[in-house]
Amino acid sequence: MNQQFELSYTWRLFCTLTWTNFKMRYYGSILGYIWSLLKPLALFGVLYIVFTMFMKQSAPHYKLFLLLGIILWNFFVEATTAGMNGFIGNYTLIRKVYLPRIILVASAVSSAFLGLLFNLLIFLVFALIDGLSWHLRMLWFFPLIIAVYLLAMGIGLILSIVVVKIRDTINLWEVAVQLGFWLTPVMYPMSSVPEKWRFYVYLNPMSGILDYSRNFLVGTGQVTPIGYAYVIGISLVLFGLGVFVFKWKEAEMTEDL
Amino acid sequence: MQPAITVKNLSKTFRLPGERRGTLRERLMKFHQRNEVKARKTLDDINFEVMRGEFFGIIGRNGSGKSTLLKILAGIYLPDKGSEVTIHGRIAPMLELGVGFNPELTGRENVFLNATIMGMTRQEVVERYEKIVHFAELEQFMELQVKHYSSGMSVRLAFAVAMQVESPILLLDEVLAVGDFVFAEKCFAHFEECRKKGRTIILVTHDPSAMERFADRAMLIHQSRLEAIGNPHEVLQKYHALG
Repeated sequence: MNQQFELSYTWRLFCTLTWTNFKMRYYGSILGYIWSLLKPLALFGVLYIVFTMFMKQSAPHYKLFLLLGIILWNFFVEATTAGMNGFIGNYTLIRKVYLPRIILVASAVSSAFLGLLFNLLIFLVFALIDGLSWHLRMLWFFPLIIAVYLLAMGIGLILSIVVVKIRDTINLWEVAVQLGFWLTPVMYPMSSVPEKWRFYVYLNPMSGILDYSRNFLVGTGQVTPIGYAYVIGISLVLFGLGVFVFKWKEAEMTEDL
Repeated sequence: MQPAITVKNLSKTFRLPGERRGTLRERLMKFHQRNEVKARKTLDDINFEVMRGEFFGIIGRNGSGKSTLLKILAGIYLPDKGSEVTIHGRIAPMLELGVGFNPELTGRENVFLNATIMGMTRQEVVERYEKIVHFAELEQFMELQVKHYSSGMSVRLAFAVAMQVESPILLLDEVLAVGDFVFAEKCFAHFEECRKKGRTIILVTHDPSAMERFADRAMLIHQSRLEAIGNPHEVLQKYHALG
């Protein structure tokens, strides 16, 4: 098959499917896209009230700190879950059409990523209201957006393959992200984690993403070049692993669907 | 004449697990037992060649392996080691009409989605949109969600899109099973036109009359093996003699 055609076909299909997925998520609901903004905001509202009123959390810009954490975590959960279903959910398509199957997972993750971009606009509005002061070092945040996208893609790809053989993965992952919400510094800062535990918390790739994103944007903690390289690096590694596992097993899984 | 598809020593073996162990619990419970794997040969040493511009029919009873053959030609399944499948030219990646149709989307949206899946660019779809709608006779229904379509309507729409695909090789699996005779005639008229343009068509069908009328050559697959190939009339006689 013509290489150039193959490439442009893959790209066109990727874009179309990403956009269709994004559109379908809230298709037919009255509020439509607004839901993708309302959901993290609702969680934010609840947690903010709990933490400021009852637990007297009064760190500067805690509002922004919490909101950014929820937005990023929420993306991670939505993207990996959608990616996990990218293969088994497109059963009919895979069995009937030859297409680069990896884009089914990639487009599912990417439509969640579009949601993240919308949510970051909301964060921007909150940051303006809250009077966040702007620094050049905030630019370091942008590679982290790409990193969390690739991380979610890598994990989504692995899950999409595993779930074909072991359907329990759907339930396991649901439990894992619920636990992960508490084990990852979403609501609390890394600095409140006891020193001896930090190493283990950092093993979770989302911890680093959340911690460093907030350090750069809200300025709540320390950043080191090594830490930054680790956060970006582990995302790239998991992305590479995901692509590898998918390519390795996709043909076999197609017959097993 | 140049070949469009060359198939040599094609075999396909599926490994069927003896027992389905879907959930983790079942896997853990039966971990000590060997998970017996049965192999099933769905295609056994198939050899044939389809020439460029040929209308090639494939016939066979249910479960004979003809759909698997089409899936291998399309690239969906990988053949066993040692098989040689060569496709000369681009193949339309579709085996069934209307795959990827999303019932929640409107007819119009589905045309764009389906056409993209089949390899058209957005520009091409825009240019041919009127033609597609006209052929499908659905001028008044394009803004309606496809879930409100009758089955005939969605098949017509799907076929109208598939017609616009310009790949030199078309694979069609039982596309004529649906739709009334008027529509079937329209489809055949389209096939004729494709043939005149020198495109290669591979059609799997259960309809003997269609096969006899249109196929240049036909192939009968029976119990995973190539039973007969050649003149459609003779191949059909063998098909009927299978009993």
